[in-house]
Amino acid sequence: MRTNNLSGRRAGRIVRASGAAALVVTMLAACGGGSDSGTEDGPYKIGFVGSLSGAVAPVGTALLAGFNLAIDDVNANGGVNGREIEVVTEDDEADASAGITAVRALAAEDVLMVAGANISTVAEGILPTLEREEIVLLAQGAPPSILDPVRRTMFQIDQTSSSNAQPMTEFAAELLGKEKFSAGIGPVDTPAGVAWGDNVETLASDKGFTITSRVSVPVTPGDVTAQAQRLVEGSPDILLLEAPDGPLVALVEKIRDLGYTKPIVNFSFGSASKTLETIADPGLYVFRTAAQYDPLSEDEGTKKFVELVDAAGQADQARSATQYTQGYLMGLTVVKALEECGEDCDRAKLADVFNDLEVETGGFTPSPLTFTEDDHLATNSGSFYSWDGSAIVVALDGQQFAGSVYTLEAEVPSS
Amino acid sequence: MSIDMAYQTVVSAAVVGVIYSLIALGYVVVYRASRVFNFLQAQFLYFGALLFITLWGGDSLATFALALVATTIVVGIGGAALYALVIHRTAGQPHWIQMLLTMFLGIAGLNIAQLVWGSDPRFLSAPGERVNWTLPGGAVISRVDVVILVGGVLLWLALYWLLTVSPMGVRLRATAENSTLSAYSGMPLTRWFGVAWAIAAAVGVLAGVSFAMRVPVDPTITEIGLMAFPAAMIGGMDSVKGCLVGAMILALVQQFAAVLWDVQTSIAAGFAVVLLVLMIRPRGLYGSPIVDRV
Repeated sequence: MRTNNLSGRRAGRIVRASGAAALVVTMLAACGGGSDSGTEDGPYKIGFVGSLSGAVAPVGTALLAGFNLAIDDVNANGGVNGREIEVVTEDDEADASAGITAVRALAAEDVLMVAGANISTVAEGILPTLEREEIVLLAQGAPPSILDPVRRTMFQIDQTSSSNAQPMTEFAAELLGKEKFSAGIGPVDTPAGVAWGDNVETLASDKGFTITSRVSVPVTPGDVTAQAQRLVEGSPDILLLEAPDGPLVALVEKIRDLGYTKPIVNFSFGSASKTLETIADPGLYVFRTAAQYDPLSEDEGTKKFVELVDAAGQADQARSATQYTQGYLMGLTVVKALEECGEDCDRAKLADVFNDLEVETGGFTPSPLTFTEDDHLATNSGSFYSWDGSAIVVALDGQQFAGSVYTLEAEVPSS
Repeated sequence: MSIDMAYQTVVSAAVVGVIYSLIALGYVVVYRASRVFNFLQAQFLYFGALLFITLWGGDSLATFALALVATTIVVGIGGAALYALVIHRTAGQPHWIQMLLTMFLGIAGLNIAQLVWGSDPRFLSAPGERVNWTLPGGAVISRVDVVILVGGVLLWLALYWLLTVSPMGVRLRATAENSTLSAYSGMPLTRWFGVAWAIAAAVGVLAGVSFAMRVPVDPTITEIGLMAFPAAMIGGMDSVKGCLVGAMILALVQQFAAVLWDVQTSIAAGFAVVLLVLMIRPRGLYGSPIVDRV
């Protein structure tokens, strides 16, 4: 599937090219038959690949909607360097093979870079194809294996889920007021989830807290009674979960049904406002590395985000999926990178720009989104939030907690 | 596994089993009437849950009941219409063609539902406060689960009577036993096949709303619908009684496997039971003997 996004409109689906035709075009491009869009007049062509159909479509479509929000805003205001941004969209169907076909098609379209990749196995699968073409990949769901060690063209817009381990365990210690606590942990059932679970176990070993149970949490909603039973067994001091927004609702309700009343902490990919409001549980805390749809915020960046979301009529989606915010951050990052890359931007130059990039978000994130040659993770810290019965409030007076894919001893950025 | 956890697992499995039995009933009703594997059943589940959430304002028990009845009728009529307008066109063709047709219609239906409602998870909170009860022995059950369990069993009993004892059930069974003879005796086959599809769609709605009170509704609920298919195979594809037994066995195996190991193992364990039953008793536990007259 392919869509065009130009001049702030969301266009419909365009005919899927046949596999053979895409292969021929890709081969021609690889043989020098194509040139990336930055060297031509006309719009900057940016590729987007995400899970736009199938079981995890809510995640991919939310990411794309947030991404388009930022791009549409820039296009509506004259574009970047006098040029508009055209988003060429492909569906990876949450499958690595389909993802490779999708990015081959994008490469044949001469895109400057590719954003999206919300599934860790897809991000891992498409990277070699993109690296061969020196195309920057700005992913949302990259696993640690392709981020550490740093690769020149591989970037991650937010924390990886695995890097949530440090802030979540440090928050647990602060909240409980003790270092030696017991925790039931629920990593999401993906390779990234396994990495998060392993990180928590490493931290438990280093810091001396106890893990009472480790139970895989499904990526998509379903019956989670069995998982809830295992998590609460032994009544640990706290539950540390990695549940996406959908499964989190069912899981927390089931955990409470079983009589567990102690705190529950969830990772940053399952922290949407609507999720917190639906569960309405003051004992549930979620990690956030960026603001979300909050009409009451005084931060300039958040106010602008709210205005754009309202204008697009997407408040419900923005409040329902954490990935919407992450897509918006992706859009902001792409815009800033193209701005610095200049009118004659090409893939190599854009990769250089990404390796030294700072994106000011006007308070939408605790600190600017930053990429350096040594750090390809845009966000490095965040805070925990909960529902106080009437509104979503920041926990522990807004204390920041650091996280990184490169170390389990990250420190909060000074800014 | 402790005794307490095993007890809790049995209680949870009973609730899931009742929902599975309603879904499986949809597969069985259509199969009994027309010998077609209806892979649209999971879509009836999804479509019904979405339509119900749309119709119900979330305010009172009365409007909840009203919305449930309205959704059941609308989707039931839709199921019959689907048969009359599409499936019926392939009457006389090999059953595998009709089976494939239901699969393709299912894919189309899923995409249409996403175009209409979007793919974001939708949440359904049952009327009233969330209440949990402790059963004798210590297992906990929520009020919602009690309603699903009791309501599901009563509904299943009513459908059992309707499909096996009532005059309508006898006619439905006659069309399945020998459609040619039934047609010669003046029975309007298309109408009775349509009735079977309507019942399948209606019980799909009830199962969908039951699930929606436990998990958010998004496209993955169709996977839950497909996970109930083995229940029909275990019990016997043409057995109404087998639906409930097969569903309970499937739910028990899946829930215990999930508690003892993990979700992936629980799915595999469910299908392992199907394989085991099919090897020992190919027609399922309560299925009719497969007789080919030559």
